[in-house]
Parts: sequence; C-alpha cells; structure tokens
Amino acid sequence: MIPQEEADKWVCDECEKPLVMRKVGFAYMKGTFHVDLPVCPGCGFVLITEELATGKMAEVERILEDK
Amino acid sequence: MNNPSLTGGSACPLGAPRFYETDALRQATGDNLRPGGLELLREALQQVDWPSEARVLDIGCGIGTTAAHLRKDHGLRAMGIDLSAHLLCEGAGRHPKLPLVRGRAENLPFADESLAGLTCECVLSLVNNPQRTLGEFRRVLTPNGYLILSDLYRRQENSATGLPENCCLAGAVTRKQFLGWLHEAGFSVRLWRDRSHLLAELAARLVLLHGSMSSFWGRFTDDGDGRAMQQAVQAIRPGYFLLIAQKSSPSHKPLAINFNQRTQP
Repeated sequence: MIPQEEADKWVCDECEKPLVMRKVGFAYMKGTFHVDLPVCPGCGFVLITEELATGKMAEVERILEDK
Repeated sequence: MNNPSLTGGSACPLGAPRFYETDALRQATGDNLRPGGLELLREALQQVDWPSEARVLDIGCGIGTTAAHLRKDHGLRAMGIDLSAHLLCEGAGRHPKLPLVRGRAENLPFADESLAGLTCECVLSLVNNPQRTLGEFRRVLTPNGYLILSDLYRRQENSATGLPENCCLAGAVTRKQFLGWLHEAGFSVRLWRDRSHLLAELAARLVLLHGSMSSFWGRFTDDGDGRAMQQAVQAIRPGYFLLIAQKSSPSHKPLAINFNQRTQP
C-alpha cells in the first residue's frame, strides 16, 4: 500500500524513531482488514498518507458503503 | 491423459490459469476462494440438520476446505468435486484421506438419490449450463435432500452490461431469475438471505492488495486496462446471497415463491 522506500523517509515526531512496515488491522463497518503500513515501533503511530486516504481507502469506503 | 469434457473450464476463461486458480484472488479470499470463507456455510448449517454420517458433496470444492470442515466438525461423510486439477492436487496434499474427485457440476459421477446434501458456494455462476446443473443436483439428492448454495447475483437488471461473455460475473443473474430456475428444477426454497456485504469486503481486500478494482481486473485483460471491466461490473451491482433449498417431493408441486417477499431475518 505504501512502498518501503516511502516508509523509510518517515520518522515519528514524538519518539524520533524511524517507521517500520507492520501488518495493521482496521475495522470498517462489518469488515476487518489487515494491511502493511508504516508504524512507529515506539508508540504504535500508524502513517496513512494523503494519497492512501484519498485513493485506495476512499475506494474501499465507497465499496463497503455500497455506493 | 486428457478428458475433453474436463478441459477448458470455458465458463470463466478470463485467461489461463482460471480466475479462481490465481493468486490475485486467493490472496484476498484465503483457501476458500469465495466471499465470506466458511461463514455462510456455518450460518446455513444452523438451519439444516443432516444426520451424522450423511453423505454430502461439496461442488466446486477447490482444495477441499469445506468438505474437510464438514467431516471434522460435523461428522458428515463429505466429499468434494471440482474441475480444477490444479486445486484438487493441492487438496490431496492438504487432506490426504479426503475423497476429492475431478468432474463437472453439470455431470456428477454419482448415482440417483445417493446424496443427502449438496453444498455449492460461488460455483453455479461459473458453470456453462446452470439450469441443467440444478437438474443434476436434484437427480443425485435423496428425497427432501438439502442444497446449501451461495453465489453472486445481479442487483441491477441490465442485459447490455458490456461484460465479456466469458467473464464469470456474466453468469450472475437476478434473484428473481435464480429462484425461478430453482422452482423449475424442482426445489423449494427454504431460506434466502442477502449477504452482499461479504462481496463488498472481498472487493475491499482486492483494492487494498492491488491498488484499485481497475488494477485487479486489469490483470485479466489482454491490455492490462481493467477500467471497462470495472464499469461493466458496477453496472450490474453485483451482490451475494445465501440460500437453502430442499428437493421437492415428486408427489408435491414445488412451493410457489413470492419473489417480492423479503426472507431476511
């Protein structure tokens, strides 16, 4: 979803640790989904880029809401 | 060795290997290769009381996950049949003692009235002749035997969809048409439930894995552009249903169905 090279550019502002790719679970409506996303190994902050939010996630939302 | 009746899989040749044999789909569905995994089977089994040791056949069994579940968790003498040698071979490795045979749903290698039950999930929309296949289901079922079936259906009646004839979604029909087929084949519908949210969840997983539905469909087109396919799919508003049907007794006319009646719980 987010390329490794993109994830490597990010550092957590709070923990000052570089983000690492991890499988993240999220629930939306009745569905549960698991995707690989950049995560702070310290605080667990998950990065969702604008491209992801307005692209794939928006399409997922539209599908799940049956629009 | 080559059996012409088993080659081709012509109902859904989006390319070779067949659509349901591809990793592109399996990554999103897991081993069950259909929306919802075992969820709908479990739901249906709350309504169907097959006696222990009853002979049940899973049609389109893939690698045998459903048949193995029916044996292990329900004590049934479950078997599986599938067209795909590729999937059956994998199934034989996973479940060495499970009876899995190769064949077509339209021509089941089982005697008349020899099976207490059939399961058929996300398969009928793939077969060449669904009406004949339902007749075949009736032939092998014992009197009052149950059919548990889930599949795609069209929520938008639209004959000019632009879907290629060889696309598996082209095999999806409306609820009214499907229930009509069952009635003509001599089945009484005991339960119909819309479970379209499971198809939506599968589509969402495909988007997350492949970037977009267009990208996913593009994997199965010659030019890699899946936009036309995506638009055609959207036009029919595909949904997913679960149903339980019972073989009608020969001495009774099949129950009339009120197609407008909602049978959801």
